[in-house]
Amino acid sequence: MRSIARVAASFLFSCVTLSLGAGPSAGCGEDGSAPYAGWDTAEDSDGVYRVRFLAPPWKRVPTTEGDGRIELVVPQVFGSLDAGTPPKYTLEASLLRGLALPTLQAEIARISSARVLRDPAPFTTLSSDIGFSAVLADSTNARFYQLVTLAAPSDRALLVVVELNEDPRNDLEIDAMLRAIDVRPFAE
Amino acid sequence: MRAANRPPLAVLALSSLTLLFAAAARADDPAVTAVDTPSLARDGEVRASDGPAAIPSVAAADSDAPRQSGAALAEPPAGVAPRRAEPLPAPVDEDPPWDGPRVELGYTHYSLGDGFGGGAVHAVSFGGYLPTGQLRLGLIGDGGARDYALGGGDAVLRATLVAGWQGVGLVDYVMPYVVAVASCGVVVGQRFATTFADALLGLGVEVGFEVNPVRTLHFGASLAHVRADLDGLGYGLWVLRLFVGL
Repeated sequence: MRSIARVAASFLFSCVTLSLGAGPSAGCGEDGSAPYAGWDTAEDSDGVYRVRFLAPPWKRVPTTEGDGRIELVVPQVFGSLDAGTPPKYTLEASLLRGLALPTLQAEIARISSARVLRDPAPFTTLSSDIGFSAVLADSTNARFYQLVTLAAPSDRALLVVVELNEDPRNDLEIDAMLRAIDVRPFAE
Repeated sequence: MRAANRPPLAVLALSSLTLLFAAAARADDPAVTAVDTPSLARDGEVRASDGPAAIPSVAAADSDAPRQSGAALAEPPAGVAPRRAEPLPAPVDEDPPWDGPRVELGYTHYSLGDGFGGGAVHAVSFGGYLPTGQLRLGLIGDGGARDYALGGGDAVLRATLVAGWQGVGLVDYVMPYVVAVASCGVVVGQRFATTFADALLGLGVEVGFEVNPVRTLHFGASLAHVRADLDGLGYGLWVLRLFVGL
């Protein structure tokens, strides 16, 4: 009985030390309560912009070196196997010459089979980058598109196209992901 | 000569039969039976609480035998040794208190922040601890839902082992305790339409108290600080638990 009590006392002491020793809000690793805790960051090859994503389920797809593109997908998986069908989500970001609004309108016109669900509207990121956003639905493949353009340095615009299966107007996760995009100069 | 000194066989047989009948009549007499019953007789009295069935039946006595006085009822028939009412056993208290494991049902609340303003966990807990005196050893399981600000909630299941000190008999009706807690569990949910299941591990300390108003019924509250790890992310959890148990 005495040895059990001794073990319990040691256990109690260890837990108190570990629990209170490193401050009330810190945990074993990165603080999980912080915004975007556990999310990864992808930066384009020229260092003009960066995108935050949660991995898993997002995966970065390798792109050609130096083309300024970032491509991410959430694959359709069964267990650990990729189903090979269209991914649940894709996100493609690329830098184009031009201003944000004309770039967005040109992209809407390019997806000719899609119907506009939400007209271009102002969009602001958490790092105060300014641009426009629109939502489309394509009945031919039953997919939805959310388009975002942001002003980028050197008279360029960052075009971000998210393709998904559900209407993104109610998707808070996609909204959080798009608002975390940061264009140089980066916010600290 | 010798035969003349002996009582005749018929007399012996008659005497034996008389004694047998007398004994049988005494056994049937409710008055005698009542006096012999410990629960009815204390100092020769019959208590009203024993009900009418316990009162000696005069009518029954009338039907079986000639009318007898009260004194005759109290005295046994001749030839039978008077019996004293056996001493009453000491009054038995209630059942002794249960000294086995205690069980508890409770509500647990803590915040496993998701970084977007959600993360509150509301759970139902069930557990108990062993009757090990000042040493408190127990196991608590809880299951509930975690709010996720950007989508549907997550499910959280945890098992927590507690070990430490409890102040048995320190204060009337109230028992404080301080224990170390080690927990493991799982968080299941969906992110970007994809299901995940991450392990939740924690280590901490809990202080609480129990109020024990009657027998083993108790209720109480506790507050724990737990350093938890969920998929490589750290959390400092303040875990509140309210419980009632037996």
